[in-house]
Amino acid sequence: MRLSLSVRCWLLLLLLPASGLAALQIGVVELPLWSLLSGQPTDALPGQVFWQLRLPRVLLAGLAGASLALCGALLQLLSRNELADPYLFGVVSGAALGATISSLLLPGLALALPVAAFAGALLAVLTVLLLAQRSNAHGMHSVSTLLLTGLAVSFCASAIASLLLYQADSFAANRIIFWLMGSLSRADWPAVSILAVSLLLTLTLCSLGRRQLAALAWSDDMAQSLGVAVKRWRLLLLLLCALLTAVVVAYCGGIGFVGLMIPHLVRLLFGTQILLLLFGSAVGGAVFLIWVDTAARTVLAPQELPLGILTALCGSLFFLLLLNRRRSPYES
Amino acid sequence: MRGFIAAVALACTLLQAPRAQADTAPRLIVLAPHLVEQLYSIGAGALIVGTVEHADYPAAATAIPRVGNYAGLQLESILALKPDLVLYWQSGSPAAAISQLQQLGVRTVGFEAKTLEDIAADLTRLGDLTGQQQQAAQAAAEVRQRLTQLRRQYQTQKPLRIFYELWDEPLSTIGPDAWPSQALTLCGAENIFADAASAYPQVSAEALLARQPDLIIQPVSATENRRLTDYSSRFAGLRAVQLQQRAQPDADLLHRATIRTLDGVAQLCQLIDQSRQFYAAKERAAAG
Amino acid sequence: MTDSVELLQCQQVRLQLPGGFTLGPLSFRLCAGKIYGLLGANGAGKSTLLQLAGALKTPQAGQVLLKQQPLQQLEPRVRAQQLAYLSQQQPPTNMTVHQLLQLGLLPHKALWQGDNAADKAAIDAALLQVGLGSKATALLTQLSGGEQQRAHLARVLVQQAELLLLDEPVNHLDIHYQHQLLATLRRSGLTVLASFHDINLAAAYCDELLVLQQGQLQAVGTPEQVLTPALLQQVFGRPCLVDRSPFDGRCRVTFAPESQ
Repeated sequence: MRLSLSVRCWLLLLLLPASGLAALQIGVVELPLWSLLSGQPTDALPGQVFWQLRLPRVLLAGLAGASLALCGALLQLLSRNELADPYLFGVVSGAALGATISSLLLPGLALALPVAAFAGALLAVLTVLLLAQRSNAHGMHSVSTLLLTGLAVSFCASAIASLLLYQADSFAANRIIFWLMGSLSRADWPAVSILAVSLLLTLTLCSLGRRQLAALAWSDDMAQSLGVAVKRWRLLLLLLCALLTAVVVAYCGGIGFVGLMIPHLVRLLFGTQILLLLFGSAVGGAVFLIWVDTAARTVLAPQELPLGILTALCGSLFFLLLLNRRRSPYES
Repeated sequence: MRGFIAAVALACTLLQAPRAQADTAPRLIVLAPHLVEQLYSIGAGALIVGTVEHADYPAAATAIPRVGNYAGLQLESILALKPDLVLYWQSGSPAAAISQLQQLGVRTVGFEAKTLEDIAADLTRLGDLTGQQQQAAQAAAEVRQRLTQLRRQYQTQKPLRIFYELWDEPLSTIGPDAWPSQALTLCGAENIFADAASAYPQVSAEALLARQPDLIIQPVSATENRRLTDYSSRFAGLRAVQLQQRAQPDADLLHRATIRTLDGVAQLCQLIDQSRQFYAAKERAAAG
Repeated sequence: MTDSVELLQCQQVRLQLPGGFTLGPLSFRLCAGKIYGLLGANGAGKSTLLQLAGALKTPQAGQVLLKQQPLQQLEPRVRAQQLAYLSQQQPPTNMTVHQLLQLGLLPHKALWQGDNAADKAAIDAALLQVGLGSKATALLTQLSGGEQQRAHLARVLVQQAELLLLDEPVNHLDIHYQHQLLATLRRSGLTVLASFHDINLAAAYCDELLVLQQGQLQAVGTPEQVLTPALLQQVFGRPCLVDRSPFDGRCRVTFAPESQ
């Protein structure tokens, strides 16, 4: 039995606040959630834990998941390739390089790492876009150029980062390795607000440009003949994706597979209508990462499990399952 | 889980009574194994309400609730333990978590032992923070005295060229900035890779063969197993191998900046001196 | 007919493709309200010419003017309001017919504008014109080849452009729809440049024919002027007979079959 599309949409939408509330409840410290929200005076500790640790963390989980899934969906639309993922553009390795440099130069300054990671990520993505744009001018196919350039820039940045780490002390290497595994433990209100603004901006632009996106998702020639300024739109959307991913990576480290897995699931459940796909991915990504992070901070408590390990594990298993179930179009 | 941790915390604080100073004693969370060990050695171990994994010495430390590891900290657990003071290791504790704790209004104090003398200095500071000044002063004085004695005994001896095998594959050693370098200098040994740029460099087999150490030092740990390089095959060309000049000091003592380090240093100096005597005897035999 | 307004003008346009094929230099003009047929053998450059005229390709020399304005300098959206293009093969898509036709309205929509009742009416009207009134909610992939082609034609119609550039529009269509569609285009009063393989169909519905051979324009003119046995033999390499259709008196071409 299949529920109708609108019922499925409402279910997904309801899942978001439900997951958020549940995640707020679960944790090392028992929180009297109701008296906190209704403003009744309680002990100082639950208030501090709630407002300064758990709430920003759950919000950041939702925002990061939404951003990654949205970027994944957007890139898959733009590249007309269901395997596109925000991390293919050298974002993570660029961010890692930035994080490495900051961790070597300013090890004690906590704010330096996200700033440097963001700069590194953005630099890597801009390099990829610029190089891809240039080789496109020489008549190469845009999507494969983009992916190949992303791969090359990734390896280059990783190599430089490894070289720096190799020359540095072992603690710096540790810090970078664990940061790369992904964690939401550095969640704070600035991170939440920066990501919220970037996500809102991207979602707004996608809503406004839904027709342009539909045309671009179909074919470049079609989009152009329909009066879409193809290069301008493509660059704008890629830049927004880069920005969003860079912010996520800077604050949360490497969280792989969300951008690949969630849009796939959304396509299976909700079809391919552009806005449904984009917003569905955002909501689905948020729900997914909220639960993964809740697991990450409670399963092995008092240890915290790196987030990237869990998402990669879920993602790869999901993919194997999907590949197993889907028959190749050439077989039948 | 929450209840369990709270119960363990409570049980620990109750069981470890009597406290050093029941009224003013602070509740401590200590984010480095060596700081835990230092606190126990000045009689302030009972003040610790939370620590990190690998805090395994003395045995009593293993019962303290854990709030994370060197990779990350559970801030909620830390807050739940209501610490008065969080002691951390500047280069080893996760910097982001520390700065978050500071933003949350938790009082933190950082420690960073760079020289062997810092062990004594850290003891004094820990004494001031826990109200155990007297025991701390005693322990610090003892550390300084033993250091002076070791230094007097070994530092001016004829330098012995050594290779410090930190890890076998990839073959890694220590540079001048690494912690064990201090002990080597004190023992009158000369690191053949003292010119390395980083603290824990990987080195090539060729470089090792070319530099011909007098003694190969392979620190071993009882808690963490490691494989040792088999020198008899690949490095048979080394004079130290042919003369069987190899030493295996206790890494558990040597690699942590605590009072026990002094035992490790003394052991290391002794092992180096044995080799020094061996060469001296050989030289005398050749001359005579 | 000399008083007609010039809609599109190609001036000494030349384009060399990466494969070595060169189109032009060639010049021609399209006047408002006429139907132009583009003829030529495979690889003569018909699709390339249509892409040049549709601003999908940029000429290396010369220029294309739309209403006296250089095509490449027009804002894409303004251009698409006046010029609609249908390629020979449509990339696969998982849109429904209705979604496809909504795309046709894209050039007339500002970013913040929603879909309204007028759009729905325009889409339904276009679908009726191509005989797909009942298929609005169907997925394109569920339609037959001919139905898909008609859906794409409906998309071009809904774009409400004055000039339609159609690459083999009657490809995949059965005889009934071939004639119905071309008749619809004639009645619409739009300007059309379309490529054909069926010379008789082109002769029956086009005001003027353009004949391409190896990237060069061989002839431009009314079917009567252009369709001579000599030219057809030169272009298609096959002897033929040109006479008049008993129905409307227009040119009719019969090629000699290969002797067996």
